[in-house]
Amino acid sequence: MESEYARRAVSVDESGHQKRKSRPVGNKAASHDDTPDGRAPTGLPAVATTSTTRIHRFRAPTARPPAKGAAKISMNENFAGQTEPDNPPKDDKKVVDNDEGEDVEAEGEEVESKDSDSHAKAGDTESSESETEDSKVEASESNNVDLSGVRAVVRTGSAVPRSKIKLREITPQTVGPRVDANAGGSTCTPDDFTDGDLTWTVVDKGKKGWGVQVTGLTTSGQINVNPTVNQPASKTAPNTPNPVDGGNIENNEGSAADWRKVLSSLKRYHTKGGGRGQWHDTAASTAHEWAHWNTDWMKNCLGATWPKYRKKMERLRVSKATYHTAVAAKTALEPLVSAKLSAMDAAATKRWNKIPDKPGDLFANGYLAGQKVLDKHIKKVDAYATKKRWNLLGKVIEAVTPGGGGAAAQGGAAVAGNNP
Amino acid sequence: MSGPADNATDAIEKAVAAMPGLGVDPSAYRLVGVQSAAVTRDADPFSWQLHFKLADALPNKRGGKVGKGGELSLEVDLETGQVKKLRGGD
Repeated sequence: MESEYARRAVSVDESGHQKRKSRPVGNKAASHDDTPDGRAPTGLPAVATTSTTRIHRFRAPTARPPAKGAAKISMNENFAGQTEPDNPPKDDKKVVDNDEGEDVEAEGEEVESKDSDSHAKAGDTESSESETEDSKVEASESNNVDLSGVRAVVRTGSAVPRSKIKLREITPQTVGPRVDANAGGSTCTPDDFTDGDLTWTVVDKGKKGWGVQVTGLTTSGQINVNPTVNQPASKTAPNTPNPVDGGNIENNEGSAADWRKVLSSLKRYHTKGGGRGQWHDTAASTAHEWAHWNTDWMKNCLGATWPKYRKKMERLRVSKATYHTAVAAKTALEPLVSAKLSAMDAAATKRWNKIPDKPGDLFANGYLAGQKVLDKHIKKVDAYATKKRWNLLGKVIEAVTPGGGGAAAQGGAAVAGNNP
Repeated sequence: MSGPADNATDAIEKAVAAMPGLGVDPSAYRLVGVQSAAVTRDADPFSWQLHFKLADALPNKRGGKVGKGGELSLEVDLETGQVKKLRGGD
């Protein structure tokens, strides 16, 4: 999977390079606005190469899990994943801004002509997402793109301008996802879109015919979490660490609850060959699955596909000469809109399936989120081992502390027999 | 004379038979990968790693969404007959 992902990324970059000659693209390489402290997530190199820009679509989880109820549709918001770079390099670029701040889509997406009517023909059956369509658009872009709506950024090392225009977008509404907190395995799977997930109305476009006004999109899915055993006073594994006196951590190398084994298990989670170990926490699995939902699905998959397909839907037209009423037009438009929704689902699915989910993968957002939870346990176990003078730091403290202050002085009732 | 896949099928059978004892419902999983340690640095002709995934996380149509997570990896030692669960999962 890892190598497959790497291979695909390169392949996309290669073709993307071709596209960028005529296609303005989003640049998110320098955007760390979604990390808690505004800095690059740990382990994510902040380099501005073409490939990094591409890969940065899969980055550390950002949003907190939304309330499990429905989130409201909001108009005119910047859609997740369409943010501007926080700190664009000043020396190596020129910014050609425009007055409108109008839509230019993220990388890999179609750029439209301002004159949407050129696409809008009665009974437009412009169909599913396809490379062919992209190629067609791409080929015509260099001639037809109206750059008045484009913010172009020229970067060092890149011979081609990149562009980004913020989207004023309809945020997809999350319904659910459904959560099973006591499942046999931890998983996250978005549902396929159906026609019922999309709300839209017919609008009168005057001489241009009847058009489509999209008003909302809902998305749902299934999150399963396999709980970790939590026996706070039992020195057995699997278990959730509880490093307190009378808890389940001890200083006994032969024990499954030995503090070194606990630390090793927790630290290996997001490393190659790692994953969930004998010492874990349900909260880590929960964070992992919600990162798939919030970051991978909502932000990376829908953020990259929904704006594009919403626009495609809204470019659909049927003739007033053929369909005299809005009701008749709606009937005619329904299969066309449905086809666009299916195409969007296919495009989002393609992205979803490429997202890495192996421990140690650089942009495995689930593991990054889970490790953050486990890091808190690591800190606590480490602190407890220090307090008990089990680890090196504890021993050093003991050595330099006047009057000893060893484990016994710390009230080390839980210290095992081989405590040094 | 044994067939070229005999060891693999032995390993699969042993792994599936051992799943209930490991607290795993075999019917909930689908086999998605088989690898012999003979071709790894271990050069161990007896060990096989089998990778399963929850059936619910697999798409029911080509090109469908593959659920994230739900993996289960087992290691089978054909010499000793031992089956153990490997670290991993979400």
